[in-house]
Amino acid sequence: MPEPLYEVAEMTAEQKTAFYRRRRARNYAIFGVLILMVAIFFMVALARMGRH
Amino acid sequence: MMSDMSMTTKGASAPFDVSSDLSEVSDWIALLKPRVMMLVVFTGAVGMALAPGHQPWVLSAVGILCIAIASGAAGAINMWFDRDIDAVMQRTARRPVPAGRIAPNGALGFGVALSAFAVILMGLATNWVAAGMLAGSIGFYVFVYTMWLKRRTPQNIVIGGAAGAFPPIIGWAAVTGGTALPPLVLFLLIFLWTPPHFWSLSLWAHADYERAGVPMLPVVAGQKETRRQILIYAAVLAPVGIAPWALGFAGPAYAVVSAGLGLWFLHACWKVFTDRQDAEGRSMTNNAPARRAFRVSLIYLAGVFAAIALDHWIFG
Repeated sequence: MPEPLYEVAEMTAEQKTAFYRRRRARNYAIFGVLILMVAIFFMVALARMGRH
Repeated sequence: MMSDMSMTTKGASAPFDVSSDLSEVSDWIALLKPRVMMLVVFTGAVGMALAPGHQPWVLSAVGILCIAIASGAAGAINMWFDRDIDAVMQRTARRPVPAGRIAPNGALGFGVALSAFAVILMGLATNWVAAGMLAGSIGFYVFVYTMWLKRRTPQNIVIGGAAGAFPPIIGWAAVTGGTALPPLVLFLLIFLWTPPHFWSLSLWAHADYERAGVPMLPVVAGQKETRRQILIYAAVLAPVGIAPWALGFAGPAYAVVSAGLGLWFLHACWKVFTDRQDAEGRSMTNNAPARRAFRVSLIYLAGVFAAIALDHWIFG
C-alpha cells in the first residue's frame, strides 16, 4: 500500500472552526477574483473593438 | 478539551509548517504591500493623465490596475526573498511569511503568477511597450534591488529606487506607446525623492537593519553622514520639483505649489541635519525630526503629483 501523502494533525474544535472559516474566505476571494478577471477581459475586448 | 483531526503536509516538523492554511485573505493582501501600491498607482495615473492622446477610460483603468498588480506582485516576491531578514526585524517580523501564516513558496507563486498576469493584461489592454516596461520594472525591483543591491551596498535604495520611479513612464507609455521628456522628469523626481525618504526611516529603524545585516547608510556610514546625504538629496530635489514648469509642461500655479512643498521638505531635512545629537550623530530627541521628515516626504510626493495633475486638468 502506498504511503499516504498527508498525515493528520490534531486540532481543537475551535481551531477546526477557524480553519474552515479561513478556507471558506480564501475560496470566496479566489472566486471573486476569477469573476472579476472575466469581467475585465470582457470590458477590454469591448473597448478595443470600439477603438478599431 | 475536545479535539479533532485535520490534514497537514507530510514531513512537516509542525502542523501547517509548509502550508498556507493559517492565512487569512488579509495576509495575501498584505503581501501586496498596499501602502506602497497606493503611491505607485497614483504616480502611474498622473503619468497617464499627462500623456497626449486619448484612449477609452476602460483601458486606462485596466492599465492602472496592471501597474497596481505588478507593484503588489513585486512586493510579494520581495517578501518571499527577504523572509530571513524580515523575521529578525521588529518592523517586518509580523509579515505573513516570517510569521508563518503563508508558506514561502506560496508567496513566491502568488507573486510570479500576478506578475505574469499584470504584464499580459497590460499588453492586451494597452500596448506591448508599456507591458515590456512593466515587466522591466518588476524585474528591476526583484533582481536588481531585492536580490542584488539590498544586502550588498548602502546605495541600495538609491539605485533600487529607480524601480519605484518607473510608474509615470509606464503610465505615459500605456497611452502613447512610447516615452518623452515629461515622464522622464517625473521619474527623476521620484528617483531623487527616494533616498531622503528611506534614509529618514532608516535613521530610527537602523537597529533593525543592523540586526538583519542590511547595509543601510546609517549602519555603514553612520548617522552623521546619513543626515548630510538626506539634506543634499532634498536640496537637489527642490529645484528638480519645479522643472516641469521650467520645461513648459506645467503652469506657474504648479511651480508655486511645488516650490512651497520643496522648501517645506528641505526645511524638514535641515531639521534632521541639525537634530540634537551625540558625537556619532545619534539623535538625542528620539529622532523626532527624522520621523517628521519621513511624513513630510510622503506629503511632498503626493502633493507634487496632485499639483501637476490638477494643473494639467484645470489649465490644460
